Amino acid sequence: MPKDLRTWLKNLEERVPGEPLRVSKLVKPASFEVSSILDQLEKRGNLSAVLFNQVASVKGEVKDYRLLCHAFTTREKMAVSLDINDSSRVALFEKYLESSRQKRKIEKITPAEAPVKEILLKEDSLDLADLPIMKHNFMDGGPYLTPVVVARDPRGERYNTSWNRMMYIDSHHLAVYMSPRHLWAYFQDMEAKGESMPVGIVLGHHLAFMLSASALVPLDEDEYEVAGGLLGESLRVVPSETYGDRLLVPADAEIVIEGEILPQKRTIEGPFGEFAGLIGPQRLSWLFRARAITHRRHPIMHSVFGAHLDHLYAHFAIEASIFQRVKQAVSGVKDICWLGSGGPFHLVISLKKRTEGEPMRAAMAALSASNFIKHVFVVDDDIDPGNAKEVMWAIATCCQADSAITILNNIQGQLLDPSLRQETKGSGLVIDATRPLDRPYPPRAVVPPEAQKIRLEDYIDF
Amino acid sequence: MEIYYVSCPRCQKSFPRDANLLDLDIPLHCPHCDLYFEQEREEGRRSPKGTAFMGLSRIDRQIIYLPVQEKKRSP
Repeated sequence: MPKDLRTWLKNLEERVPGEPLRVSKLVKPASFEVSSILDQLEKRGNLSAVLFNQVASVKGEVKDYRLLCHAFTTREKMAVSLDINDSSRVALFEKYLESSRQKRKIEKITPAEAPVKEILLKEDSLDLADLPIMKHNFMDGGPYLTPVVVARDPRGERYNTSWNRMMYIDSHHLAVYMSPRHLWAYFQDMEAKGESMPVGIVLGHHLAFMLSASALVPLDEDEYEVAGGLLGESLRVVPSETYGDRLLVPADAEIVIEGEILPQKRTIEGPFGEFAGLIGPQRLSWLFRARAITHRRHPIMHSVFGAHLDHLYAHFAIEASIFQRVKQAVSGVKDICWLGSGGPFHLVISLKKRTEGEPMRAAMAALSASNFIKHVFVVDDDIDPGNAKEVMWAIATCCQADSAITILNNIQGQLLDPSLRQETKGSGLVIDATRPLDRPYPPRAVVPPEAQKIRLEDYIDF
Repeated sequence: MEIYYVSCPRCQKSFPRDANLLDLDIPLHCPHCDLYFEQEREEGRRSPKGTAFMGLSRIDRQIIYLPVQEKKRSP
């Protein structure tokens, strides 16, 4: 059976006790009801995936759709997505990197074989307001989809997959925001020729497919093939209803909206909660026009909860790429933590230092790997980089400010970082919180390992 | 990222907009009450520089898409 969101949910159910949570009561995603439930779960420390079985559309009507959220929020779910048992950060990084290198050619199937073609809504019968689109946070400019957008390179056969937030405008239109990356570059080429760009909006697939959308791959690599590597099997694709072979779309997706980004058109979009946890301002974005919707029966729409942990953890592929770059620079790197570091622009690197200077070398590799990284903290390999308390202890006990802190000026920043005073340029920080090698340093105070074998239960009745 | 706050003329509630929208002759959209409204022109006009402007020779209301219901409201 080909991998899809339903096989992912089945595996999740078998491997992670209690997941997914199922909500049978009718909810209204466009009235913040879903985001309130997710927010309250997150505040209780419950990061389970949540499947809403009865959801109202933007119009408030109950259709055949279901809604899945919080699919990215834990490493255990990432392990299910990558089909491994070990859910440690490093194991997930290594599996992701290995799988994404093992690219697989697509498998083209016929529309009759494609689950995503079970229901077809053509232009005159579709209405985007029939979808259960979420309003995520206070001041959202409208209901927002958080899909993976697929597009074919206008100069060839390569496919791009990317996350792009999309704001509902009306029955056939969405605003689409594009960061200046591959999809944006494709559109620049098309718009220069006065042409629209066909795209498919994927609203639910196996999470390994969705992870391909944040992979940091060169412009000439086919991300459908990367998705195949991550899935461990060829991605099945099918000609789109509107564009035929000019746009192949994932055949095992839950829902695909076909349409095009229009040239010489823009629209007002936002505010919207950004991954950093802040409200991004209203801005000018691009305009998408829907031409068809195809979906499975009783489809499960996947939505990422904007500006919350789900949103941040959807960037896992970038964290894995940063690990690769840092490890290539300094082989003694043991682990890194970006997404769980407590700040969306912080990175903690733990390494076994062999020579002075290695911490800075590792930090520079991280800063050059991604403009998501602004502050790098380097600690010894006895510190868990995902434990902020331990990291702060290392900074407190290993640092003197005049020598441990380096500030870097004029580096490329993140467009979504509101602290930038210039749109794309800012400063970076490296704190070397490793113990010095050039002089004796006191060891950590710990209970002797042999004494740690004592069982607490033998002494205290809990 | 440079932002400015603007108040909706109908509900009086404010929301942030990108500084790049400051000098454009285009409507804004209130996220609180869903009103599309004309923004007041301000001192210190600035040249557009954000990514959504790229590839366009000019920005004016002709290229701005408004929801179908807003078009119906327009004269």
